[in-house]
Amino acid sequence: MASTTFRKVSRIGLAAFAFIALFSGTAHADEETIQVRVQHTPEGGKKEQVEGVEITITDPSGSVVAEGVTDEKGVARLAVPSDGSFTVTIDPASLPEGLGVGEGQESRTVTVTAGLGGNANFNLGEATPKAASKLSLLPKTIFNGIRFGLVIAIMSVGLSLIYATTGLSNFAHGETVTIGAVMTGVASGWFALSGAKGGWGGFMQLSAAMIIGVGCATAFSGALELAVWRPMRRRGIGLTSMMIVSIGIAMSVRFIIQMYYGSQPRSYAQFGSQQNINFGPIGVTPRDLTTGIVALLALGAVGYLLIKTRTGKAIRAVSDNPDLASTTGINTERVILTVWLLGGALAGLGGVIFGLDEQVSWNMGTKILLLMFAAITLGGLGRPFGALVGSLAVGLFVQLWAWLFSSYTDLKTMGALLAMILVLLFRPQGILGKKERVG
Amino acid sequence: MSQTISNGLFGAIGVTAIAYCLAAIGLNVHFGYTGLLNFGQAGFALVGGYAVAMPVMNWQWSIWATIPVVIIASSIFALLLGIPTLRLRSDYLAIVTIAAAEILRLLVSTPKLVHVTGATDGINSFTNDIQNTIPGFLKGKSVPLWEKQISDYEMWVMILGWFLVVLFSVGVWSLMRSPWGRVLRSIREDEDAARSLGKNVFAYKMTSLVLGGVIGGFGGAILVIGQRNASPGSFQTQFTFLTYAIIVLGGVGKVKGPIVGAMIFWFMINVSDNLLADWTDGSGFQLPTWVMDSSNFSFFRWILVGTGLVLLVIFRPQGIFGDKREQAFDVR
Repeated sequence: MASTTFRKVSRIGLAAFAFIALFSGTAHADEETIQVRVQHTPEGGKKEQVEGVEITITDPSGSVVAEGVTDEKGVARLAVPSDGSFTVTIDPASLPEGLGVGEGQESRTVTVTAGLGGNANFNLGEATPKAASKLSLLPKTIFNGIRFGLVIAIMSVGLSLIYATTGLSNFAHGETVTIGAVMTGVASGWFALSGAKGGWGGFMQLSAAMIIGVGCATAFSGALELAVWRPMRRRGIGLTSMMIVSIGIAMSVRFIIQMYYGSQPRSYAQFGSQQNINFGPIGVTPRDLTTGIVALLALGAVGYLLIKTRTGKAIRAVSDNPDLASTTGINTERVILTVWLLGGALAGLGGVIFGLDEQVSWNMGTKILLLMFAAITLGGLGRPFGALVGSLAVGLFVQLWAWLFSSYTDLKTMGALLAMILVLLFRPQGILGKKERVG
Repeated sequence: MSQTISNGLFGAIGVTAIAYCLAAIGLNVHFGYTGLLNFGQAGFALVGGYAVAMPVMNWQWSIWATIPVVIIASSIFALLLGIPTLRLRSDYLAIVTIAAAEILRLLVSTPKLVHVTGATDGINSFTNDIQNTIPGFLKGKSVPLWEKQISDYEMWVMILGWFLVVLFSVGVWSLMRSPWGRVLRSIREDEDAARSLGKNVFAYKMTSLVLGGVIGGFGGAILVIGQRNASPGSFQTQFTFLTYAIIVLGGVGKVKGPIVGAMIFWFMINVSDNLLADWTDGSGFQLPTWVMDSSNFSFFRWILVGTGLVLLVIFRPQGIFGDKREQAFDVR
């Protein structure tokens, strides 16, 4: 039974990679307009325009590109960043009382032609009692939350280790994430030029590209330690200065990426849409399953390294007390370099996965940096396993917020940040933090 | 070339420079005098900006009646931030303030609140009162600044803005010479020592956070009035980081720091933008297109700012005119 499931999974995985890459080459960067019209024809009555209906437009990867509300003519004109196909969704909760859309009718795909834009018309009917309960979505929400938490965790373990060993809140960590994803995106473009796009070929191409991306992130992180942080520590420059320097580095690198990668978010060349594999109430794409397992393995490896190996012991010794560690013969500088390299590799890997979940954009690392800080603060600053707990909490919180307040999903990040501030009020040392570290 | 220089000069004294200068005066109170790592100055500016725009648009207030709203709203924001964090280590304040600023920005961006905040497009047409009070000697005229023409509205906002800059600078200068200011600086140098002298460190930090926050709020107010638009895009995390760059440039913990810093900063930004635009426009001297072209040269200024911030903090932490012995941050 188990082996059949496994075979089924791998077969669907194969087929799914063979899907056409929807976003391999975005030709246009010009804005186009989608005109959405919402109307209602009462029985035997005249056509009525429906005002105040909330509309969301998402691109094929599921990220929101435009939002709006219909005017008194029942029309909303929304700008989308390019031509191509988009999904237009109306929020059933925003419809006037007594009106509703049929099951599965609340969203439709619109093809936008360059220069002409696109149209979506919604004809409302009488409201029907709600069929699908919210509760049935809960298992999937929790799964997504844990998965998102794992992705944040692999990025923030490095941030936390760096903080623990050097005391630096590294604001350039977000850019390490971006470099991992962007370089993977660039390399996946090179590989896609030669050979087949889909199937195992595509998977291998992306894996090879990922190695390049993670390598670049590791190199970036290590180079910063050697060229900036180590000399600064030698000169006795304080932590506040170093924090501001990390902000400056983050800013420079971010805009260098924007200058040469562009402002348009893109997917990897091998990216395609996939069908869900169902595990009971939870449907997962092979892609999400694979990346979830990769994240879990990476975290397991880090945990093993920290607990079982000599290097890990040295890292923990340096984070507890650098001076004491160096008197016992630990080469502190080498341990710190190891932490930067490790943290860079993990951040790069997290960036690659995050780029698969959403899209690869020049400011993706900056966007997730605050969630990473929230995670390590929640878990207790400077405690690597606290970072894991905090990340899972943040991931779950973000997804549960989106589930609970389904019409306020744009505020889900806000919810996680708010939760962090509230936790600090009552338990300032974080979930796993030691009390004496604070204040 | 004279066009470029006059644009740069206008940048140095224009509304944006004034707004950032006010935000920097406030941040200087936090960071320069008290040693508080406030990374949410954008949040204070946002509160100030929306405190002006929202009552005027939603409840038809006079814009002058919103001045107390700016003060009260920024003070409340400071209290909300300070209570959970000021007893903790300084990095907690940094993370909480940056998060709180981001929370506010997300909140005013959400389409659900479009009727109150205008969502991402923000609020327009709340500046009629400013337009109507332009004094007679300016009305309908444009003031030349070398080759740049400044409109009567801009000129009037600049006068109001520089008045605020002078007011707050003198205020901060005299406050910092008072016993109160000396306690603040002792907290910056050694918090435990201040505490052992019987000073209520928490209360001093809180008043400093409120004072700097209110000044930052006025910065945001001037910014939205100058742009005639209050939108979340003006108050990204970037805002705070630029403010840091400005006070490091001008000198941390000095009264003239924010003024000098903001003027030099916006002069350089405008000049470099103009030069790069000139060098990528397809005529005369041109940069190679693989370096930059007309579509991406505008990002270069932020690379410049980031690199400049790094070099300043490492090599001239006292600011460009400062004295190394007067370096005010990171003394521990």
